[in-house]
Amino acid sequence: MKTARWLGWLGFGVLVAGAAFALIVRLAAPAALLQFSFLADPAIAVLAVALGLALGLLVASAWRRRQTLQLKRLLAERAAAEAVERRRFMQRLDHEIKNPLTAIQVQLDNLQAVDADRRPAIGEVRAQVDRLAYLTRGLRRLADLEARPLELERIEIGELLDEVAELLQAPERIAFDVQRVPWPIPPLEGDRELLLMALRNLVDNALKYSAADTPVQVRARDLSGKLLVEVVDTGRGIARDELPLVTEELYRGSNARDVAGSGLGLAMVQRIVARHGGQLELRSRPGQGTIASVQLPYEPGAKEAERGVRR
Amino acid sequence: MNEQPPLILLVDDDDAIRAGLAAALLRAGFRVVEARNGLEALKLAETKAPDVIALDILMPELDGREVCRRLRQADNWTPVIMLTQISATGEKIASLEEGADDFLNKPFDSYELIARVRALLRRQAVAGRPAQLAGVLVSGPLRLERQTQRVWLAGQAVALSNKAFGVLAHLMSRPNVVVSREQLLDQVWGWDDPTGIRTVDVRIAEIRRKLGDEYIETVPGEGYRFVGSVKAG
Repeated sequence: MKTARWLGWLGFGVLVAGAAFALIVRLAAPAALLQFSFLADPAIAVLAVALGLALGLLVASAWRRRQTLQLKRLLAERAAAEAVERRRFMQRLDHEIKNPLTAIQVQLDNLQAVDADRRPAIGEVRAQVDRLAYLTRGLRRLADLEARPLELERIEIGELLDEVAELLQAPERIAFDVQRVPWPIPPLEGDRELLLMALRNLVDNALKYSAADTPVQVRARDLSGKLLVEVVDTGRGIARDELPLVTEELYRGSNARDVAGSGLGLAMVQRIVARHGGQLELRSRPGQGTIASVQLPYEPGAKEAERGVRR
Repeated sequence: MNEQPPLILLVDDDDAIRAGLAAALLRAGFRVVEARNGLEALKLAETKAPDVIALDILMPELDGREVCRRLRQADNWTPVIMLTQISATGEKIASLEEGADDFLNKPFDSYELIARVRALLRRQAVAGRPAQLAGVLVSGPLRLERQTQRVWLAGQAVALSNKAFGVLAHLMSRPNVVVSREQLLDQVWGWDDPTGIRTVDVRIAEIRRKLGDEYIETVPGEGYRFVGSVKAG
């Protein structure tokens, strides 16, 4: 796409230069107007070559642009088809796992009630089953996130961040910095509960993966047309080669295994942000800390409408 | 009216689940009748007159939603708790419209089912026929309109967020009944994310901030309840 545009501009530049050159030649020698001796007039020859070149470049660039667009459309279609396929698979898996899990849980309850001697062992099995159940629910929620319509409402980011603090109950460690001057951040159109869930997850990660006596900063800024929220910690960080992987479901960073987690949090954040037409970016230096930044358009309306049609 | 313990009609086509749940319900002091499919369930609902029906959704013969629809059409208002299974959200909304009183997402444990059954029995004793289907609810100066998602306090419109409205509507249609945070999360949000439990508290705080403290009471260790009498408006 970028090369195509560059070629287009080059073609246009040559065309303009050629036209300018022609004009100068004509004005300088008006008597030569009716002489069609191409070879005798090197200026005309140069002009003709320049014009040909410009036209050629324009055609080539248009053709390339078309190719790129087609390729892009094809890729998008394939990605959409894959997403649908995956969602279906998740639903089937979820469905097939749920009945046996329920049966195991229920029978464990019965065992525990009658067999007092084996209670610790049964308790351990139950804890493992609970983990499986938790994971199944998480995976289904992820699949759900792609399909359910957004419930859009007007959100004041300051209010939403207050709610994040309320949810996490760690106000002394979180330092909020919400832009108020020279202008305040405009209200945001979004699904309040989903955005709350996403931001809570990011701040919770920052708290979990940094020392208990270090602060976590949450900054909100207005970028024209977009909201920027950054969650900054000075914790253990994420290895460079793992950065693109941590937003995949069930992936857990190699240095994160000692901290409890499902491996679904960032995948969820990623999807919520994408559903709002925004972007999640992670920057990190192992041993120094991580910046998770979320950019959200103030009105995700257009993207959502597009999705609505497809669904 | 109850010399005998309450009778639960348990409907599920999965033998392991049904047998396990039946044992747990018996141990909790209920009487139990079991059905393997929707047709059996309808028959037993009529002949045995259970106090509560626990109804699996995905079943051969007649699925749970159809059973519920037919019961309600026949003016049978026995409380129904649906045991849901496939992708939560859409299915739940559909079940609500068909007149179910509660949902439980698989996988669940038997204590959760027992707690929900007890809650349904209590509600039956307090309120009689469920009031959830009324479009407008009024309690003193408070007025809630379900269709338009609007709330007025002493004639003044109050702007609540979507879920705060959902929570208020849910509690207000079950006046004086304690509803757990898990239930609210499940039925108003349509998620069953145990880490999201505190989200419910955030919405309760919002309601109190905007309407005052007197309407919703915290019952420590149990959940929340709407205080006051509620009429259909």
